Amino acid sequence: MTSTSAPPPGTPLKFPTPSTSHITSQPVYPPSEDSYLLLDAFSLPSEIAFISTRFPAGTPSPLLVEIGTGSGVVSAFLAAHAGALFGRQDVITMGLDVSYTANTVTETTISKACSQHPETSATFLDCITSDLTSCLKPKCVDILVFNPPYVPTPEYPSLSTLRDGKQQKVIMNSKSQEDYDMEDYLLSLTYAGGDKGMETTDRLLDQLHEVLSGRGVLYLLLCAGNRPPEVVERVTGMESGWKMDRVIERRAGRELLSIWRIYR
Amino acid sequence: MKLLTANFLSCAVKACKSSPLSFPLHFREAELASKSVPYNPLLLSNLLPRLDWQALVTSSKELGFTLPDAKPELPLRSTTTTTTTANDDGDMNMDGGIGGGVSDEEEKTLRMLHKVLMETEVVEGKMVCGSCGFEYGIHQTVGNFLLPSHLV
Repeated sequence: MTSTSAPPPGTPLKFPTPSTSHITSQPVYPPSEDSYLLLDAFSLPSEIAFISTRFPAGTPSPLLVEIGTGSGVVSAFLAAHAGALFGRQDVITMGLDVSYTANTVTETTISKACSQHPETSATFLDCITSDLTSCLKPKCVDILVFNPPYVPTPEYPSLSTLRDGKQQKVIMNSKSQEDYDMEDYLLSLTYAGGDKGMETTDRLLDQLHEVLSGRGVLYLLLCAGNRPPEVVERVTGMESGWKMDRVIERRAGRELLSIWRIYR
Repeated sequence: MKLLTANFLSCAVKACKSSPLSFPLHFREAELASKSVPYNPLLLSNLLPRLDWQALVTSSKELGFTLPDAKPELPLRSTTTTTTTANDDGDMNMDGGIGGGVSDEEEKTLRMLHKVLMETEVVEGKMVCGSCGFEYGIHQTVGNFLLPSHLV
C-alpha cells in the first residue's frame, strides 16, 4: 500500500477482492453489496487500528471465524490480507456454513486468495458444516464475522431438510428436479431471516457470551429492516457489558446496510 | 480437516458442551493425507499458549503421531525475518526462521509441530463424542456438525 497523498479519514484502503471465478452454477450466495461492505469495513484505517490494538503482535494468535461463508469472498479477503488488516500474519481462520457446497467452494476461494498473497496471508484451517458456531469449543473465537440471512420474510426456512436428509453433496450443474429443489432451498437459507430478518441473528446473539473469547469481537451486518436501534438496545442490555458500535453504513439499492462491531 | 482444527471443536449437542468428555472429539476410521502448508514458525510459537496440549496429544495419538507429554516451551514472538527460502523439502517458504534467533532444538520442535498440526489432513473419517457417542462424519476433508433435528 503506497500512496502519495493521504486519503480523507474514513476512506477504506484498497486491497484486491478475491477471485470467485471458480463459482459457476453452484447455489451459493454470490459476492454482493453486503459482502463488499464487509470488505470495506475491515479496510477502514480506524478498524485496522482497532483490531491491531486489541490483538497486538506478540500475543497469542487470534482465531478468526466466519459464519455463513457462502462464496467465501469475505473469509478469503480477511485471510489473504491479514498482515495488512490485522497487523499480523499469525492468525488462524475457519469458515462455517450449513451448506456443504458453500464449504467446498469457500475452501477454494480462500486457498486461491492466500496463495496469491503469501506475504500477508493468514493460515486457513478448515471449513466445517455447522449451524452457527455449534461445532466450536466454547469461548474460543477472537474475531467473528457474520453476514446473516437478514431479509425480513414471512417464512423462516427450517434447517431440518439438511439436518435429517441424505448426506449433502456438492450441488453443481443441476439436472434433476431434486437438485433444483435443493438449490432453491439453499438459496433461501442465504437470505431469509424470518421475523424482522432477525431470527438467525437473534440465535447467535443469545449465545454470544459462550462463543467469543474475553477479547473477542463480532462483526455483524444489519439492514434497516432489522431495526438496528432495537438491536443495540438489546445487545447493550445483555449481561456482562457488551458494546455495539457502527463501523460503516451504505445505501445499496432499496437497502440501507450497516456493519457493527460487538465486544466487551 | 487438519489435526489442529480438532483442538477447537467439541460436540454440537448442547448438553455435552459442559462435559469434559465432549472434548476432544475422538478420531475414528481416519484416512489421512499430507498437505503442504507454508511453514510459519511465528504462528506455531504464538498458537502454543492457547492450545489444549493434552487434547492435542490424544488427537495425535489417534492419528498415529506421538507428541511429547509436556507442551514445548517456546516464547511468544512478534516478528519474523522475511527472506524467502526453500526448505529441505524443496517448498518455497516465506520464512527463513524467526527473527531474534531460534535454537536448533526449537527449530526441530517447530518443524515437527508444523508437520503434525498443519500438514496432517483427515480426508475421510469420523469424530466421536466421548460423552454422548454421536459420530460426526468427515467427507472430502469437510466435517459435518449439523445435528439431526431430534438432537437440537
